[in-house]
Amino acid sequence: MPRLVDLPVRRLPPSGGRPGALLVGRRRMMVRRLLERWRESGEWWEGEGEREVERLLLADGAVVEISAAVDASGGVVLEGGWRLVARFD
Amino acid sequence: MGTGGGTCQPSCALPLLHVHSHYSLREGVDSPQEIVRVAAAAGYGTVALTDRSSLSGGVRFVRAAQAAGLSPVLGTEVHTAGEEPDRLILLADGEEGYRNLSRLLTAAYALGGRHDPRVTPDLVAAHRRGVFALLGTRRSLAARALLGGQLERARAHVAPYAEIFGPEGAALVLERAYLPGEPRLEAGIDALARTFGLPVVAAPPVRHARREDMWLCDLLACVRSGRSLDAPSPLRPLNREGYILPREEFARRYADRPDALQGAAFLGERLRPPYRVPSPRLRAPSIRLPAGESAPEALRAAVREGVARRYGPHPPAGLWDRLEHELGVILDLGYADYFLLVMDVVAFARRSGIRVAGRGSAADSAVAYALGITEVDAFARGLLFERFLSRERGERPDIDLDFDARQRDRVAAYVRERYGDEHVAAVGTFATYRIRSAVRELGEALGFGEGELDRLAKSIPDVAADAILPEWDRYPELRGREEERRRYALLWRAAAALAGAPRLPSTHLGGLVIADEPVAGIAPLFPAANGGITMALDKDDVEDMGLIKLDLLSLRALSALDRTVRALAPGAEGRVVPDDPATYARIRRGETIGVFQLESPAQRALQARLGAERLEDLVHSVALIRPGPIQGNMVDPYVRRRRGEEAVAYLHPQLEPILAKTYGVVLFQEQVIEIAVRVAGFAPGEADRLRRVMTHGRSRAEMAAIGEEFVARARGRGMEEATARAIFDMLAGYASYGFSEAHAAAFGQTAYVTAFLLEHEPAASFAALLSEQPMGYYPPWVLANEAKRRGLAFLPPDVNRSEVACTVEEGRIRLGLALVAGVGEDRARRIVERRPPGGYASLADVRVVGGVDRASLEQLVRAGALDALGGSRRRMLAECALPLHQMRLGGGAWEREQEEDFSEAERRQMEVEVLGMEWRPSAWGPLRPALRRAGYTSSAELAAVPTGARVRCVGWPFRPHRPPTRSGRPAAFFSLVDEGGLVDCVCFAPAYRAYGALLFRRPLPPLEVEGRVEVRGEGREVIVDRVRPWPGALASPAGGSHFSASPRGRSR
Repeated sequence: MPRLVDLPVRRLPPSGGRPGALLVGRRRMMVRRLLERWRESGEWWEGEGEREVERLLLADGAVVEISAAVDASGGVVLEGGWRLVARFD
Repeated sequence: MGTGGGTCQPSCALPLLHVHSHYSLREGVDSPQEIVRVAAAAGYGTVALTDRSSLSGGVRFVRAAQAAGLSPVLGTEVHTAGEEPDRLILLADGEEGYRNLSRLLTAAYALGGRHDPRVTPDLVAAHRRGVFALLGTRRSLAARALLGGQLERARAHVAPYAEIFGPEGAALVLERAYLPGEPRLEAGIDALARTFGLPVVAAPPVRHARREDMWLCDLLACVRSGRSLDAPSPLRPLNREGYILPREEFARRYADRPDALQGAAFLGERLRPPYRVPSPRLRAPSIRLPAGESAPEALRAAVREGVARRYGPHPPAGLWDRLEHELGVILDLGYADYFLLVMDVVAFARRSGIRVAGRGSAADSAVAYALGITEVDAFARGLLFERFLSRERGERPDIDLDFDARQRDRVAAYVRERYGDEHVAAVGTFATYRIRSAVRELGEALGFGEGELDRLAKSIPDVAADAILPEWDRYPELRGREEERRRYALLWRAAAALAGAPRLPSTHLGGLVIADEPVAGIAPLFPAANGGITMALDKDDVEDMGLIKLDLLSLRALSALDRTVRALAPGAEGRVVPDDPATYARIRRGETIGVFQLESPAQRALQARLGAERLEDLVHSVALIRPGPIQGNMVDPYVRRRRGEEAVAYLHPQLEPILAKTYGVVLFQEQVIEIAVRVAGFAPGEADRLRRVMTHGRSRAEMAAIGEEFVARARGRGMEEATARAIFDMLAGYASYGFSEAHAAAFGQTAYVTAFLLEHEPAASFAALLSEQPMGYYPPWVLANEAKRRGLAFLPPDVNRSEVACTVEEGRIRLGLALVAGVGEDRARRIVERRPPGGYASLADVRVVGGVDRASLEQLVRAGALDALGGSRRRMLAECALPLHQMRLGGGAWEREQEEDFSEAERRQMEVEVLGMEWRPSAWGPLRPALRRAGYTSSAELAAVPTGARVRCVGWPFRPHRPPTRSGRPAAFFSLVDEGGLVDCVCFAPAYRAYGALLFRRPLPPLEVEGRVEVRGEGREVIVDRVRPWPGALASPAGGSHFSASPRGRSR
């Protein structure tokens, strides 16, 4: 069962041979790999914008989903706006 | 074919291989032209249009792509038969592939029907040549299996098509549209590619050209799946990625898959366009001729015979010069076969006793007249052939034939039999979104209730779907409804976005295409609602495909004419004399209800002023009452000049011979052409092209350019610039209301014959008009009212006396059984044919012997058609509900139980509801003395009221409408119907603003108006300044039945 959360998260890209990571508050979660990525338009009729969602496999075996808004042109995910939205243990 | 190998650089020519336009009904958002525009701007060189089970957007797509320098590929997304339909994209490589796709879709329609075309692997295999298949799209069964982790199952779904097309003719697609499961899907696609040795191509799907239009795509998906926005559906897009990606974004998105990019690029380069637009080849059928005779020879011979028949041994001087000129053009353009074909169809109708009349610009042709195709002597009238056909214009000739509506299908059947079923199809058309249809469809998806939407749709003007918001303040019935403007804001926005988009494939009313090859290879054919076969291209597209179109139109006026004549003694039609004084006297009084083309309120008002006394006046009338002359302020000058109240003046003496017959007013399209020829030296064909640009182009730049050319050429011929400009301005002012003189002449002749018969044989004429409903301007209740006003009496429908249609019985009109709502012609015919010699004796008799179902029997009881059997209607209706064995049988032995029947008012109301008219004397009649005392003026009394006098009138409102006006300001026109006829009313701007909301609400109660009388010639209208529902406070001698006398009746 997914656990729904809504926490700000920072994505730390892989560098120097180290895997990428997620930073939630002070907690660092190592990312093993990106499972998939998709976009959702949301309830556009209620004024919701589009979001990009990433599903990540963490080093501890958990799966999380993080989400961020997509700008109107669709080209850019608004960095700094990522949030942890679900965790599958 | 294969998709090649190697690597693809970001600059390589990437194609769009999977694009849906709005011809993927309720799925795609944009027109093919818009797709081409956006794709070209995004830098693509090749685009494949792959609409769902449709090639209908093809012609427009190819034309737009040619103009934009894109390479167009046509394809289609087909669905397979079965519980769980599979989907695959089939792309045509060149003409052979296109023809096979067309035949495949034709077979798909035959298998699945008009609304659900389906293919089978066998059908696909039979049409595989020149076709390339894209497999594994996200909505395919294989993709669904892969997303579910079922690789073996996916293999099973792909296997049949991999085998049919092989690695040279198929590829698997990578769609990459930011959808969940894409990595898993791609891994599966790669596995399938390895299994079957198929290449992989990058093919992002497109359903809306621009990213921001996803909302409309989503809304349409909701409509298609019958869900509201709050409900999920697999058809709905998850995100906005189904748009035309900028080319760089396309390359970036697939940067890790150069094989897929390369495969797509290679495919885009390999696939060839399906055809060119317009078609360089005419696909006209060859007429069957005796051995050794050519079509040109046969046409000449037929013209010679026709001239002898029309003119006798001494044709008028100059006729043959004219005919030779026309024949030269016809033969040069290769249309000899076409003229012979049309002549053959008309000849079939004539020898079969089917009434036929050629209409439209074909009547500009003296050859058409000689061949018997038209009944207008183009030579005698001096009509201009180039309005119909010219070398310069190079368009297909367009001959429209009107037939008695009841017999039109017989003529179409003859054409199919003569030229072969496979070579003939009806022309298609698409119903498009207008505001009301958009409100009903989209509103449900937006979550509004059916009842609310029905009320909303009925209360708004039926305008173009994108006109409602810009014109909101223009319509009084909308003004003040700010809450609705806000509440339905998204609905209005969606409706505007869909304006003009196709909504429903349908069949053109009369068009047939006849080709020199089986038509299924030219465009897909679908089974029409009427059981025929329709080509899924509209009338403009079939011409662009090089097809010859023949318009066989149903004209109920001809049916009514035929009924009238057949009801009279043999030879009655021959007694129609020209220039009959009594006929013209009635026309001059504006008493033209029922007269073909001359019956609308505007026509009646015109006739009351015009003083018509010859056929030419009627011909001009047909052309005068059109939006253009009214907006162009041409009507009044014409009438004043016709009546000698204003001098006829010309801008230049050269115009006099052209405009003298229309009193100096430009009334006909032919006159525009003649002026351009005479004044500016245009060739006739050039001049017609100018006319068309003036009529259809209408952009300022275009008009200015044409104007300069006209002026320059006129000056070159010695005319002063100011005069040339004034003449051009006159033509430009006229341009939007062009009407062909030939067309007006053809209609004018029919109008005169119907007027003559209405004058001298009114009972037979009104009986015929009522039998042919719906037709003309007025519904049955207004026609019946007019008949009564003219002193005719009606007899009710009667199962033992009525025929199927209305008949004349001792001078009175006996209503036909088919007039009863819900009974219809077939049941009515059965009742008449099975009628025992002594008549039906009982309700059960009618039901059993007459073969009438219970619902129809009830309708007949309500109509009073069983009153003569002697039972009460209440009792009979009760018996209708009983099982057959409980109905009382035999001998009309109704028990005369003391059960009270319906009141007179109730019986009258029942009749009105099922007949759509009131055959008894009007309910207003008994009220009239009281109304007179209360100060109301009747329609009959209005005739004696002087101009300027104030009156109050009351009656049932009929057809409020807002035609274009001279000033451009909105005005409403309507009539009030009382026992003596019609009171024509006009609400100009102030009154319209005040009362528009009342006039256009539904249902309409009886209305009371107050206003000033305006006498116009022999007619009168009331310029209304006050409207209100009739208060009904008057004590009604009919016991309150004045409200129940509503002739609104049923909807037919």
